[in-house]
Amino acid sequence: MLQTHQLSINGQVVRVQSGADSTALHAIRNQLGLTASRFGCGQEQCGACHVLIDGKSQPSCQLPLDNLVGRHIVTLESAENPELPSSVYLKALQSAFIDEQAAQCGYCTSGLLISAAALLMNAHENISDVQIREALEPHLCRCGIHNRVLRAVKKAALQCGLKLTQSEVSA
Amino acid sequence: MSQLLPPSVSLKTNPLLAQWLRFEADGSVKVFTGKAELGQGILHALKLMASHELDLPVSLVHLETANTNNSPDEGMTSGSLSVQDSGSAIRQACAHAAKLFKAHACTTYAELHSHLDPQLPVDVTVLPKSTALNLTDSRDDIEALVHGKPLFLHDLGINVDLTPIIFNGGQININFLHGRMVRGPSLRCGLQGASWAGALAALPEGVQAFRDGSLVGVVAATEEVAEKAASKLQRLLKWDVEALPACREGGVDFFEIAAAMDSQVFHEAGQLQESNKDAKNYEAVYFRPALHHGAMGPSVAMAVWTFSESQSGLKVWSHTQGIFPLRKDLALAFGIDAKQIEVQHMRGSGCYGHNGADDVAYDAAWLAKQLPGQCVRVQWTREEEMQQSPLAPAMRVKLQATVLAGSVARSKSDVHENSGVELLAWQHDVWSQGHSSRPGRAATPAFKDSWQTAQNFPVLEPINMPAATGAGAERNAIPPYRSAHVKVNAHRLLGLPFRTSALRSLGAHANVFACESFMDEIAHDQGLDPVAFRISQLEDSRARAVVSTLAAQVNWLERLQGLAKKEGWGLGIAYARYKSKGAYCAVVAEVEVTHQVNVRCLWVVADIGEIIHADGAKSQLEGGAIQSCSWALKEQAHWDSSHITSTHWDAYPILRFSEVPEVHVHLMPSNSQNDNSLNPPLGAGEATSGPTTAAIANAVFHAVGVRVRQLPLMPDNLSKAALA
Repeated sequence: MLQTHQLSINGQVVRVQSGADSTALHAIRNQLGLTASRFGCGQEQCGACHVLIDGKSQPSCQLPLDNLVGRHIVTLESAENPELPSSVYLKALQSAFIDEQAAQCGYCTSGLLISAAALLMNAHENISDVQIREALEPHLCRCGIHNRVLRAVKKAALQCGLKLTQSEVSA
Repeated sequence: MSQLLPPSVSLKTNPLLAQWLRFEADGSVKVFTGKAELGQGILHALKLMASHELDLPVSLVHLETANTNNSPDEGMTSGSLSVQDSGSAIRQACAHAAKLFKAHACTTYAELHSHLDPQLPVDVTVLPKSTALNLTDSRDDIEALVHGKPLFLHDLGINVDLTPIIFNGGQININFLHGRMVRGPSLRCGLQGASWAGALAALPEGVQAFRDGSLVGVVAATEEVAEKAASKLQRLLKWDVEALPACREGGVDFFEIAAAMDSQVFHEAGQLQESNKDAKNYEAVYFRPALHHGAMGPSVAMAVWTFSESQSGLKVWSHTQGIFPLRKDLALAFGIDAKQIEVQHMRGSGCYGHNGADDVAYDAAWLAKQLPGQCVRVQWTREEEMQQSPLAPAMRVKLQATVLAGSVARSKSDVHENSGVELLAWQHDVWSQGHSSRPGRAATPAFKDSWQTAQNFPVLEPINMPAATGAGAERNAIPPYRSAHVKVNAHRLLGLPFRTSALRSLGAHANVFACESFMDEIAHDQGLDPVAFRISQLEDSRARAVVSTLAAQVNWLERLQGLAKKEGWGLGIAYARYKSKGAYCAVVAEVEVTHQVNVRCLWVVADIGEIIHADGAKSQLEGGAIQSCSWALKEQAHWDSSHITSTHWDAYPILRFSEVPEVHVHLMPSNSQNDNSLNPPLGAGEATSGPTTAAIANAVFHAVGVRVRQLPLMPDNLSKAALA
């Protein structure tokens, strides 16, 4: 049976209709047409579907839709919305990814940007290479763009006023 | 100095200027290519080449995505050939157009349109611009990718920016349906008829199920309903299944259990020497297990059939590597003329060989055929992508060499000095299933699911491409080193119940791993420095330049000495010229062996001839190296008695961020050292695949003194090698 869910996504309140055990990813992509978040495995193992939920980066491919009621969801499409606190981080990351040409096929890019944004948004003053790698650890990339991504995240971190911990800067 | 471009294969099959370029009224130029964007940035590289040659801003050059109705037929996008084939064809067409532009005193390219005869062939005698391109522009699609724009076929129909869809001049109803397939586990399965009737009765409302022989699919209005129906059928349907052989380490015993073997002498050259009492014989066997492609986005396709008196046909949207080969096999599968089929390419996630793209295109076309006029989208699951798309075959390589230690004094301190060692004989035997099951090459279709229908199409035996097109299992089996006698025997395993096909670099991965490990073994036994030994045995001066440049960049000898003091650390080198006629590439790996192998740093030096887009080439070389590092350290497909079981990322782990090494890439100059002429451009995408794995294995030996000849370099295989 179809249920109506009221969700807060990218700063807007929207209604979606779906079955009781629908996943967040299905609703975000197929019903709302927000296709930046990608289907990669459906098993929370690859990171392609990560979105921000109340500021934390989480996979959406197995998350039941009704878990999202009352929580704030942010996808990559929100970067242009200046009212969202995540936008400044997403935009800094996007321009750093372009500077570093940190994509080949780009299928994993949205998930990487979301997790990197969560990291920068929640960081206090300093950030290290190890912390960046840990934040990106849930994300698989098959093209081998990892080093460019690490450089881009560091560049964006500096742009956002964070300091790179010296001992950890390697790439 | 201007020089003629090397002849392009693509111009032979598509000789007309109008097949490559169209001059628009607004002064912009449309460029057509049959090559597909697979995430490698090829459309950008081609656009840069056209813009440079036409002397037009990049913004006025539009690359048309491949479509069977208007693209030149360039076969497959594979083998690192797009810059060579499509690139030189486009460049030649543009050079010709630029000459006509001057001759007709045009002020914009729009004016050129009226001067052109549509039947005008591209003039291959026009000299292109003389300078090396080495263009520095950024890839213009990356901005769209980081903004999450809907560029992928996965988004077609779902994202409103990618609708409506035009077909046969009219609009198609975009309320498309979602399809899912249901199958038995193995290459050929018989559906038990009784289970079908029961399963049909259990289907929920709103789901249509279709069956042809043992092929079953469902269609529903939403993806969730289709998914649920498919998994319900998957539980209820029963199949007669062909058993798989016991899984021993990704197929290590395949060459013993294959029903038959097609053994050929692939290559023989030189003279066998009389036996020499001072010579020493070496022999070693290496193994690379079956691998998965592991594309990040499971394959997807959309299809629609129209049936009318005036026009009937099929349109398919696919992220295939070859729109024309796919069209040919769709025509075979559905018994229609290829001209009735339009295949539109749209990008999928990164593609590293023959993945599920063609198969899912067939699935969508088959389901859409049941519902004329209706678009059907089929999205494979992760499990389907791992289980149903072809595997890269397991490979076994046996190497034998006869080596004469010379009397020439040698010094380990000078890498350029002759080692004084002579290779008298070198024999390379490779056992593997074929490396191609691609569409477009047989009299019956190559789609796995088409083999399940009542038409009873045969299961196709994987083949190896001929040597002229780069070979398959034999790729890079001929050593680059000087030897008085060289023999390569290829043994194609037949009748195994696995569908195998092309994965990035095909046989080169295992062959280079074997050859370069073996060279290291010989060097070590002869007390030679592995860099010096290689340089002394390489025939080709560009090869020697690549290896010595790399040695200089890493401070090879100093670094070796430095690492000797660090427990568990080691350095290894490997070299190959991809396909023996493509890009030259040498890799040094620095590893730290703890409870596992950790690759800390990779240095890559490549000679790719004329550099078109340095940053793109470096990204391809680095990406190939990281992927090869993942194969070397972690990857091995596995199965039980009926199913491939490495169907998710926990069961088939690949390299993650915490494990990725630093990578340094250096490109050799575009110009020849001899006469400063431009070397022809060579593809970069596969050059690092073989050397990286070999360099890592050699570094492991240097670090802990254990020669691991069986991939992956996991703790189990290390312990086994240590005890051997």
